[in-house]
Amino acid sequence: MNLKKLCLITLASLFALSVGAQERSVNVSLRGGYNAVHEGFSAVTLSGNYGFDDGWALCGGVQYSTIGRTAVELRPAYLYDVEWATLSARGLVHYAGQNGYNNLAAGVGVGLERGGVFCTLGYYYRTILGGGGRIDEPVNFFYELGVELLPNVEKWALQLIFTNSELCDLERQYQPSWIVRTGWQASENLGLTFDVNYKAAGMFNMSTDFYQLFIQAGLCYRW
Amino acid sequence: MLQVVRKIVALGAVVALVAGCDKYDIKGMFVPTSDLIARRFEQSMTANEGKTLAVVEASEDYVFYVSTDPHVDATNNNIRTFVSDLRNDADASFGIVLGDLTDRPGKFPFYLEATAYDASKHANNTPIFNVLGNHDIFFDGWGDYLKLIGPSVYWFEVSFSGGKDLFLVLDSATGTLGTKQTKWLKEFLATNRTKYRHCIISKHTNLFNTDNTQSTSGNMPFEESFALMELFARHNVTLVLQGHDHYREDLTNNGVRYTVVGTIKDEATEPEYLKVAVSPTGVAYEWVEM
Repeated sequence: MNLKKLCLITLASLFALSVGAQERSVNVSLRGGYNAVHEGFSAVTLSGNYGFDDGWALCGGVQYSTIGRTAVELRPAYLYDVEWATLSARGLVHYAGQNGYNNLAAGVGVGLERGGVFCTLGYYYRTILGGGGRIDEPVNFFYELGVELLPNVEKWALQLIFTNSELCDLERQYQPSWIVRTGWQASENLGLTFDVNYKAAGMFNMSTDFYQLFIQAGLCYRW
Repeated sequence: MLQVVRKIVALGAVVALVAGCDKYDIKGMFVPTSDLIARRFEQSMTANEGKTLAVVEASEDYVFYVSTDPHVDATNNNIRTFVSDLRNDADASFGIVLGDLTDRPGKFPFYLEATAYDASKHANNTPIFNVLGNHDIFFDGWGDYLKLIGPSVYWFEVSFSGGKDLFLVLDSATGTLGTKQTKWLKEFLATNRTKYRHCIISKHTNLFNTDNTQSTSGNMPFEESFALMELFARHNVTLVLQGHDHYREDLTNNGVRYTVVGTIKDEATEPEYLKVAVSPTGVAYEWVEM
């Protein structure tokens, strides 16, 4: 069994175990956009969130893109409420395959959420397998900095996010994306999301240029 | 008090973003301040007129020199040494400088002065080919580069009895090859690669990120790296020469050798350049400490 199949089956098993218990949400989203190298592309992402009663939470997803990339990611977290914020310890396990190369990453980080501002900072390590060899990257940052722009987060959501580690898209530390994320909770169980995602090339220590722009629409079922 | 500190920090950040300094184009790291890759590619192709930039005559076995990141600023000592070594080596056919030729706007003439042929010091007028680096286009430096140095995307040939080698120079100064250059590169390799014995590619930005010495150095996007690695392997590229990261790296993947050459800037603690010996079977290296 190859690594890709193993990862997919592991993730599917986790979802299977959680469904019907205390699963919080399942999301499916479609994206379409333009990339400097691959030009027009689209992708589908299936993801899920599960919140336990004791502070643990699990988030994961699988993504297929028409550029020939498949990615699987799992993010466990432990959330802890203090008087002034919600703190969290976060983990990250990531696999992606593209152009005959498989890359595996694992990381740990910490998160903070307070008053509509949320951030996660962590380190990850990645190794690339393929082409008859292995390439190890040094420890890299992953981060997400976001702000909730609307007060009524129960019904509507509008977020501005700056991150190099969107679910299933784990980039190098100098390769962030800017995301405008909107959400609408249509009913108790159903929600819709719509994202605009821009990724520049050459940020931080280079001259910036266009790399990628896509929109992503999602359907979320909560229970 | 805390609010005053916050305002000062915020104001400082805004000033830094808008003004930058005359060395690091901080504003350009977030919003474009120079021509984007699409325009640089178009202007380079216009300058090339669709033809090879040069044909270098050599024997079947030949030598060329490679250095990178001289970052010429107040001094240009190491690039002078590199040029002197190159032009006094009768076996050397040409030299390549892999980008970041200068460290500040207005320094191209000082770089050209260091690389100019001087009959009193140089035995041969060996040609030198340049690659565009990110520092070269800081503060809208592309116009000066095109005018004084030349196009950023081009190719030249090394011709020898019974064959020729292809040297492709790519523009990765803004961290991506961009749509037009990528499309051109795919078509060029598909159409022309088989006409040549070896294919050697020179670009500034590293595909990999195996070293954090420069912290947020910046390389290619992850997906682009994989796409290019697959493309280079499919077309049997012999060697990819890269700079930018100020350290030495040498790895082979899918039959393609990827070499990052360290910096020769005057302030470098261990400046070095590379002598590449090309033969029918491939390439061999000699690293030269300065």
